[in-house]
Amino acid sequence: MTLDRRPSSATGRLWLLRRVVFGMAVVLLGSVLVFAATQVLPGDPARAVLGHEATPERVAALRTELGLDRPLVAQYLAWLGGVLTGEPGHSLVTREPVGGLIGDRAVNSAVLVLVSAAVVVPLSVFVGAVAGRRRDRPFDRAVLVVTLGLTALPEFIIALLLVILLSTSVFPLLPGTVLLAPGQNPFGEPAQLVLPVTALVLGVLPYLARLVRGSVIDVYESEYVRTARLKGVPENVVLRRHVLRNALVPAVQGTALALAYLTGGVVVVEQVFNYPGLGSALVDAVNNRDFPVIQLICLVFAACYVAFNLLGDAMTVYVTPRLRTAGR
Amino acid sequence: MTTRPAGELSRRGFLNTAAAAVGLTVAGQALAACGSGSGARTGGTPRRGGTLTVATGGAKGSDTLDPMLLNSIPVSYMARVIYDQLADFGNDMEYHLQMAESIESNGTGDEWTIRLKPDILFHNGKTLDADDVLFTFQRTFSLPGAVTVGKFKAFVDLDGFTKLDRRTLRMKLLRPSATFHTALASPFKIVPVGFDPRNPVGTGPFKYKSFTPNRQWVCERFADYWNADGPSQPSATPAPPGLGPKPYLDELVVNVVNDDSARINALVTGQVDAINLLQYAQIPTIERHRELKLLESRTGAWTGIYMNMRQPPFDDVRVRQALRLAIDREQALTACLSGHGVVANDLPEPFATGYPASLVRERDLDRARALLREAGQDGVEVELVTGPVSTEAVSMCTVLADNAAEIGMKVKVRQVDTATLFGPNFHHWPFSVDKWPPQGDFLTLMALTDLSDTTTLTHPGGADLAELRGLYEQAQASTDGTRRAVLTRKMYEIQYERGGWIIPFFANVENAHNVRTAGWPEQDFPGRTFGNGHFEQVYRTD
Repeated sequence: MTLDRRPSSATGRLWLLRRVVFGMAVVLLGSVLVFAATQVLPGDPARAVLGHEATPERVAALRTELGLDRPLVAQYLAWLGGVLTGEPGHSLVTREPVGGLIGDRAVNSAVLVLVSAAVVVPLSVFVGAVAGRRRDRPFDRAVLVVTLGLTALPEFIIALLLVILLSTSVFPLLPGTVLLAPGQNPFGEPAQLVLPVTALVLGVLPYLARLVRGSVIDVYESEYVRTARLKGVPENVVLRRHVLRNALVPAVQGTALALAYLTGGVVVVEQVFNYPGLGSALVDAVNNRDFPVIQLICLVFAACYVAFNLLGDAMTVYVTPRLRTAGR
Repeated sequence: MTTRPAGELSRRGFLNTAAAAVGLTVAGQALAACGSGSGARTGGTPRRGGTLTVATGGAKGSDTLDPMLLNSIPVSYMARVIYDQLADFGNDMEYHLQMAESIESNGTGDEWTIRLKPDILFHNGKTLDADDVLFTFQRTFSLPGAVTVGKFKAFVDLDGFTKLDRRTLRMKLLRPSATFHTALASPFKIVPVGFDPRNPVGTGPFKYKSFTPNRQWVCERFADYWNADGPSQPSATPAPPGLGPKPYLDELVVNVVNDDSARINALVTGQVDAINLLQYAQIPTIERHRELKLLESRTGAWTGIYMNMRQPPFDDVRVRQALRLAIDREQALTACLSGHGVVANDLPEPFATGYPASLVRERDLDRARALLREAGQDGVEVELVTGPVSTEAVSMCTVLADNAAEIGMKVKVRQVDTATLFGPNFHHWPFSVDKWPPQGDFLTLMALTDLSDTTTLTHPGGADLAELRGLYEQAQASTDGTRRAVLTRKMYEIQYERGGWIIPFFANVENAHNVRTAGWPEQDFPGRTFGNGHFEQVYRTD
């Protein structure tokens, strides 16, 4: 088995195409579920808009105006058609286009997730690799204890502890609340990003670092590493050429899952820090029964999950020669 | 095998590590206790200008700049910042004229004449005149969901307006309303002819600059504010003379921070100058920081539990009275508000004319049990639907359920979110909660609740309804204040003896600000927060 052989491009493309189509089907199924879920939510957007003193006639009139009295299938198809043509409809509450309402927030959330990922992935690989390399030494044990402790803490507890430690009480160094004006670039005030990013990093690091550590140890115990060592290959070359390359596969998978997890975890962290992202928009939309907004945000989350997983799988195949050539 | 078994990490090692972690947390807490208050600063010299940045809770995506859709706390006080009224209730709930020079009725209370003060300017430079008032009435009636429509619908005839001159408007009402001037004082913001909520123009102390729902309001000083030299609300730190005309600030920035902890964090770290809707449990934090000040006021805002008086078992007055005698108001006050409030006796509008302060309800479990037995409802089971209409709405229902168990009534508390609470079933809940700001007048409130035109939910049953309505109409036809007070008191008594509301307390409103700002009003009886939105009298001292 040689590492530098490239996959047959036709087979690879077919496989990727199949996965993309399958992913799209999952998102479509997700859209049905999201739509159905919003329909069974108790409550009524027309009432949320008009307030509870509104007369039944006014509520009925608004329901007609908003198209809420049409058959469900017709409502779903109209919505799906809108999403596919880039017109995901208007908010029932503010009557503004949904895209405009959540666009700025989607960018903010994406910034948070990507910055966190950019920090957590290299950090986890480094920590995991060093811990695995120095298995059972003090560093490894410290990593195990700290990551175990962090795993036990829910993200919002980590977030609150960070605020107490670094913002309000012990060391008043960083802002504990994010105050971003609408349309303001989140990088405009980088200090505000530190705590939310740290909370997300600490939420994902234990999982990813332990995964890397585990796979590094696994590879170290494999026969080909032993063979390499017996051949007299220097230890750092063993690490670089044999261990890390092979340990990368679970790490890539783990990163994809971690990204998907970050996308969901961002909802809680945004709430704690008042970060104006998709998470807080979703909470508000649910409170107002603003169906088009709920549906689009959930769909964005679902699409991110599918996309990250797809990306993870594709990269796994790329870095695993065995899988690359399996189609032949 | 991917990792070694956990045995490698010895039990002792783990326990030591855990103990160290706990120790670190405790040390952190201790450090926190030492650290707070150390940065204490006192306020400096009062100055004009500057930006006031505040963080508000209670905001929603449905928030708007339309002063006729006051659907959240920030919308309600921001409407006071941008717009103004013909008459108003002060922070002490006393009625006074605002932009009107006079509001007078004829002898029968069915014809009212409104005369405006001269030379009041809108933010766009237009002078306020009678046409704007007429337009505001028309818009109120044509806009779906307008809040004031409930107060006006029974009286205002859109064809009954006569413009006497540029500043004077006469309106012939559909029926007598001796309290019409107070209805004008409850939120009724005057907008100019052709008003467009996307480009809001009012006569308030601040001009609109930008607004994003659920994110931020930005307003700037209006140099031609008509009431710039008018009296301010009482404050512990009134603006010194020589600070010039109001508003003193150049700019007002209201950031939405709906999470209670994030809001107080923003204040503690100095990101904002003031916050509202402080939780009772957070008051000690404010007291620990010497550079922060608590702004607390009692209010007439109330959360009530209503019993549907037209459905069993609450159609029997004995069951209603039994529950009202069973609830432990002191316990509710302590448990739900940490004592930050005033005990109520099931009667709203404590600041209104005719309020009978002598009607006090003592807890009487024996009498409550006897009433329940007499009604044949011993051991009856009822469901109480509650939701977060206010911070105390859910906990007060739990207290009532506990107290009711003591008299042999099983109250099952069901908690739902507000969208469900006010959803399609809203008019069918037999036993639920609602929240009301003070209206300043008991008759106005009755027209919105027990005698409402839009819902029969809180209507009294049978003969009580007719009696209450009769008294209400007599009172509305009485331009003689003394006679109206007597009739109002009678209505209060009916409410006390036979009504369907359980009102255990009036909760205080809690805000906090740093000492770099001053001039905040002490009282906020309407409970709109931030000293009833009187930002025009706030100034900076740094």
